[in-house]
Amino acid sequence: MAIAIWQAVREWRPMRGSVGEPRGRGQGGIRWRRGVVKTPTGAAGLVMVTALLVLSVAGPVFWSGAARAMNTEAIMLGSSSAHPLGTDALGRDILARLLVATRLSALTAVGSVAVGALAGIALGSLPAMLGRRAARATAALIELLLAFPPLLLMIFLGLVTGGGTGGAVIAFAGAMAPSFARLTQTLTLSVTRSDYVASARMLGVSRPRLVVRHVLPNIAEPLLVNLSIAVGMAFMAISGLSFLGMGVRSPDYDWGQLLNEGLTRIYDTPAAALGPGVAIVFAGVAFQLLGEGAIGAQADRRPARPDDPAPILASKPSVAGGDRGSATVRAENLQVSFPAAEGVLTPVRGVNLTVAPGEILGIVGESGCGKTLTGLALTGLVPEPGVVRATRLEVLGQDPRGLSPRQARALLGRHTAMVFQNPGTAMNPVLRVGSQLAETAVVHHGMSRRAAGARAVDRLRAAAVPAPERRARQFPHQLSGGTQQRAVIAMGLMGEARLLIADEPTTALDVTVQRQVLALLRDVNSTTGASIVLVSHDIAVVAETCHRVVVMYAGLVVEDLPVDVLRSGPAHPYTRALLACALDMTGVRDRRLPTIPGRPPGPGERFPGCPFVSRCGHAGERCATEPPAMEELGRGHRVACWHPRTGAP
Amino acid sequence: MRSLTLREITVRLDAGRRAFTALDRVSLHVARGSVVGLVGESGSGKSTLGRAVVGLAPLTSGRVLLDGQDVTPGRRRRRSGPGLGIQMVLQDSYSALDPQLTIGRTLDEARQAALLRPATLAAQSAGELLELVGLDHALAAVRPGTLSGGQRQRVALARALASRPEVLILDEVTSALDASVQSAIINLLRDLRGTLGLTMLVIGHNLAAVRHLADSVAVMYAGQIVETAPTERLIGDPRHPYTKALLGAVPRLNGSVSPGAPDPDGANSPGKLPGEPPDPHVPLPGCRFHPQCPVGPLAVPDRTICTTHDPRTDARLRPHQTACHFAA
Repeated sequence: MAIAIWQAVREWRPMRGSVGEPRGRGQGGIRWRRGVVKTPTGAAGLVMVTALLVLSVAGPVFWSGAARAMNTEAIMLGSSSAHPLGTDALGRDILARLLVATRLSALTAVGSVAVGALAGIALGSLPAMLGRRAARATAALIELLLAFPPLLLMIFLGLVTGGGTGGAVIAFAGAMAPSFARLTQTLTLSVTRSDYVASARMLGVSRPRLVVRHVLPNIAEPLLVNLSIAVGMAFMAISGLSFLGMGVRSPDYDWGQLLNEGLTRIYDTPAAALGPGVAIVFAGVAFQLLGEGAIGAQADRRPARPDDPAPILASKPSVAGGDRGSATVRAENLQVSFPAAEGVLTPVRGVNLTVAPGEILGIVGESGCGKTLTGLALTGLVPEPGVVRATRLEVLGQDPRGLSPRQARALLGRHTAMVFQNPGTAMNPVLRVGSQLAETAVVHHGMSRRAAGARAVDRLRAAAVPAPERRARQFPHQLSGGTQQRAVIAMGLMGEARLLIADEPTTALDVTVQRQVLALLRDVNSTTGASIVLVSHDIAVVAETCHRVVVMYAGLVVEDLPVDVLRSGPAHPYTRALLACALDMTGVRDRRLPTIPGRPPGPGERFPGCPFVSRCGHAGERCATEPPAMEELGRGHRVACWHPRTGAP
Repeated sequence: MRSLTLREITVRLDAGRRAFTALDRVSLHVARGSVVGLVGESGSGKSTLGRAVVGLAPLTSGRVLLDGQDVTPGRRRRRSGPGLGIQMVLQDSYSALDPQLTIGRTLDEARQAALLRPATLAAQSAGELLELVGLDHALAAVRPGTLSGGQRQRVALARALASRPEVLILDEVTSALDASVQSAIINLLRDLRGTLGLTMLVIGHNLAAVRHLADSVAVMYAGQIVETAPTERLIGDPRHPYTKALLGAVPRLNGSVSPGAPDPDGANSPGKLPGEPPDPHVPLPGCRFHPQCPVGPLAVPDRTICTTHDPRTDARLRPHQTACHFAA
């Protein structure tokens, strides 16, 4: 039993949950509670905990008579139909006593967790409430308390308080408080660093009020999950103390004490010991399952994946002229959809695009228009549970959807490369830059380490990284943001990349560095002949860098045009509006800036006509009811609009 | 509204071997009712300056004055700092609002703070504040999770305005937004300036956005201000080589490549800087820009003065208060 307590206490390790995440629809709490029921573990836990609660209320009401009734003629009996668990030394029915004891066991467990959690949360949130010096002292105190083994702490407290019901409650509370304090402290720290706490501080909100109003509500969820698990542990630990004679004492009795009484006769009447044992394990498992279920519900608030995404409107597949067979990328009616609580979301509703060899294609649009997912779909990197569909999808002559993982790796590693917005997370922080680059060559091209290392330095030089030999020996965090992004591009250049997909590669960079990285992309394109797909929200960046531009809106391509037409006279009202909104360095400074009123349709919305109709100044009746198909306007210029504009923007 | 004066603000961050000077004797004046832009790249210290002024970053030395009255944070007791007189709107609209509170309650918090101040007008209702920033009253009942980035940024602005600050600091408030939403926020800020007569310090890395708001612009590099001038003059006639690089790097719709055209960014094009920004942990004598400067000792070897003398010493004597020995 001592071992069981030891494990109960030792395994009680706080689990961290998500903190202060923005929740959808503002009813996260309700959805979360429903989510607990949805997971099988959570549902089982909930049923078991409810059973315990009912029993702890009803037990003493119905069975206390039977539990008290002594019968000198039936002492120490074994299991029988009248006494399923036998009788004790005074002839009392053990099952009745067990059911009655549920209340005291539950009260002590919940009570001690309440006391311990309260103490822990109070101690853990103190550092956030106090000044710098006092905060440091409190943090040190928490460290010190954590240094004591909880089991020792519990037995020590049990001895000091002299045992008894109250002693056991305080003993477990004292043993769990330090780890709860630590949990609260770390969770609090992440919330106090957020901007809403900073804003409240600027308004002169006092620190204790900050903690009560902003911090605690935002860490409540992970704390509650840990509370549930702690209650399970408390059942076991307090029963353990009672078993050892340090907890509940006669004439009161709880499960631990019943176990103690039963254990002495385990060889004669095993049921007398097994009954309380099973009850203790049941309670421990019940709360553990409930907690696990809650963690599961937190981690995955998504419903199950639907079998078949609903058919979606798509513009007519286009027939692009010219080099039909040799295109680097060809996508027809490309769709990406995600299952969601509100139905199927389709951020990409039917994209047609081709990338010619040696071309720099820009994909531009507002946030949420599906441009990033389109880029990911081309490399087979759409995250689960997204579904990619297309009438035709070819990247370097292969369909990324039909490839085995191994073939996909070969295609991705050798001939395509991806550059993401945040270069800091694109590299492994514990590997030196040079060895990371070399890895690519060793794995995909079978180069020797030495040759690969030399090539890495050469490629870093090609990507205009200053002092490439030195940089190759450094770790990613030692590089500035711009140099990191150049190193990521160099990684893409390790193979014979024929397609480079860059998703907002310069958004996280300063303008001076942005200019250099864009110049590098153009340079890579002209020296290696690789095609580049540049995904960006910034129409000026795209206009400066690309040969051809695809404008996306609400998951559809609305215009596909050469870059000189983008400047001289795009036809779609949305493209023209994007251009008008772009801030640049010319133009009257204090003019009122043009904006696009309204919002684009969300990925779950359906629209019968043109997606831009509600925001368009040129819309006619037809626009609201009939989707415009892509029409050829000029050489390499196609637009999906019933009323295309002409002339300079 | 009052004027904001920053005198020789120095901020040293971290301790021990990692310590570095994030801001080095920065002085700046924002006249009553005017808007000053502060531009520079990430890590130049522009956000740290805003945070230090409102007491969110520790001030090592220097003074913050509102109409000549010392409100330096941390000087006397905590409450005596700029208090509600200076409010800052932070960059990340997603973490700027407490996800657990409705918009109405977030604004109430700010309004209650304003009520505690003596000599303020009666605080506006949450509905009036929302209307002020162009939002629907009904939004007071919702939580931030349902709002778009632009709406969140408007709410953050309403919260800052609720306490009727003397000076408003805006830290990159539009940079995470789509172009159209960005323009709408800039229009809103200009309207508010007209109706409320706001004194503002606008921090941003995008000159194209800042120029639409600011009367004058200060350029920051590696924790120092290197040039200050009225917006038109700074853009039309930049003096510091770094300002020139910054202006040259702004992407333009009609300055670019066509297929097969030569790269417009030759080695000497204005947007291109050689080398990398200096390591802030290593103090550098002379001009902090010299390891990257296209007109400094890298390009002209006999310009050794750049590596020995701090150009800020005589900056007041040069046009635009330029911290450059060879300001054109």
